[in-house]
Amino acid sequence: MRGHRDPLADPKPLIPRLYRYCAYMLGDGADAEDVASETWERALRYRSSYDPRKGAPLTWLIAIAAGCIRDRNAATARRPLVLTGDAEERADAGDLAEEAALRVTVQKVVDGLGERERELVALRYGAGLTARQIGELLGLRTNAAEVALHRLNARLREALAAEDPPAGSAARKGLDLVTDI
Amino acid sequence: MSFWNKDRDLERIFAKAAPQTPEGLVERLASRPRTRSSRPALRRLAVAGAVSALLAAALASVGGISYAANFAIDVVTGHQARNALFGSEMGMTLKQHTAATDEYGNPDHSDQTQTVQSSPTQQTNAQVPLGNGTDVKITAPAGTFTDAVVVYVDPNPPTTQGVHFSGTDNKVVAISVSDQTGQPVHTLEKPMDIDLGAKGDDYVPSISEDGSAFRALKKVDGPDSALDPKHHDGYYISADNHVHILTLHLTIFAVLYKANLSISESGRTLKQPGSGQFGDPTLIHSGAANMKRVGNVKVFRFNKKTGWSGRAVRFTFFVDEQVAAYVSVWDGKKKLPIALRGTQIRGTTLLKKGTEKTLHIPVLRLGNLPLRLRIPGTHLGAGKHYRIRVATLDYDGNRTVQFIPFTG
Repeated sequence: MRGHRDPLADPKPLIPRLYRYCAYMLGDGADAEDVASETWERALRYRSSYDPRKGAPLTWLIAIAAGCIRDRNAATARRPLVLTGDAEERADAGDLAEEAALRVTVQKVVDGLGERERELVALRYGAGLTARQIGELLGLRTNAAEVALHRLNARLREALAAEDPPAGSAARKGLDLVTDI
Repeated sequence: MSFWNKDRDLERIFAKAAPQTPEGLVERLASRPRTRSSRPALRRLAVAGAVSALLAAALASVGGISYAANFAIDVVTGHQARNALFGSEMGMTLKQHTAATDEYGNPDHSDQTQTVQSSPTQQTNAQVPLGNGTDVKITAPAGTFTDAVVVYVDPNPPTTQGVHFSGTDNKVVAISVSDQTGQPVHTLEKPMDIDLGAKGDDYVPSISEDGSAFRALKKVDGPDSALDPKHHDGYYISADNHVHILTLHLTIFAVLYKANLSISESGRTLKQPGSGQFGDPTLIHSGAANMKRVGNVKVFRFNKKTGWSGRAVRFTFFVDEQVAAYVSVWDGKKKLPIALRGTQIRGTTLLKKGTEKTLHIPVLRLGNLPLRLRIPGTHLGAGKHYRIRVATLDYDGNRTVQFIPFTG
């Protein structure tokens, strides 16, 4: 293996970010899970080709995921993003309501984005990539990636602010409620 | 400072609203065999050590080994792995491309399958017993198919035979179509109507691509209704109380006890049935929540011993599924403040200081929700008219709003 480094040596931090990227691109659910699994299998097969000089393991993994999504016939009707709420059993009840409202709000906003903006959301907020890593993936200079992210953030802020006030209020404050209501 | 005007707020928002990794996915993927080999599929067979000679022979007999070496095996995930040809320790299996096809995409049916010849110019009808005293009736209008086809209606699809369903009145049928060359037809020009008979109250029309993960269908008004643009399917209840599934694609269709569902009507992953978590399939239903006021609204002063000022507004509302509820009190134009300290939810008194214009209440248990809101100061005037606004958001994002009028 080039560089003698296994990109999948520490899988546990990578897999959730991989899944989130797939979920933002395809919709949270079975499709995202399938693609994440398929990506991982491909990564296992091709990890000997990983070159650390070309980027971090996560960037390499997301590039494979992007290929899997393209292969999956991305031209078919894209299911709007639906975010799950895996609330922990002991979550504060106020957090649960806050999560529910916030997820629906974010869902609507992301669904309204164009293809390129949605991809940026998936890379930035799903996979957690930096501007430089996003630039490497998309073939942009770091500066161009930063500009694209800046514009995306402005668009997101505008769209979120236009959403129903209860979602905004819930996102700002939590209530000190008893869990079992 | 506006809440939205800083990037770190966006970071926080997306962190809170992030899609949650499905339970077990990290463990499943991280445990995959990682031994390196120029022929990784074969090496995994050896390292796993779980493949008997018989299984290896079965692989070879269907070309599985060479298939693997060409990296053509699709990896199936958790819910599909229940139908895996090999054990989960293998970490791979042959993916079924439709619900009723084998690994090569050819129809795979049970002995009870009924076949019907059809063509683009004729209406297709089929009636097949489901084995529980009811029949499934298929109707496809003329023009559903673009070519002469054979329709297969299987009341006992092989992909569901290893799956245990809760409940006693579940109905499952797989429908597939092949053209004259034997190629499967997956999508239809017009909706097919699948009559699965009457259903119990806790039974849900649903659909599956693999026979084990079932998604709840959305209800539509009638046979001519437009279908969900994302899924191209839905169901309606006819005048004789039968469930009719409408679909533009062919797979496995069912009416199942709700605990058997794993995906909600909007595509969200459901929680473990009986867990009580938001998204428990036994505590939610298709469509928006049904909500109604129970009894009258009462307004009174607090007992002086409590030390709380203002007025108490006591009322109860009923909700029939898990929701996030948002409660506010309005005079003619604006929301009144609700004091947290002294407000009571299902008998539990809040002690936190401060006020809110909207009370956010996650309702995880169904039924009546008694509330007592404390409106501080002199906001409530005697004889004046006010309204309580109750908005609910269910697991699929369906919203319901009701106004409850009262007099101060």
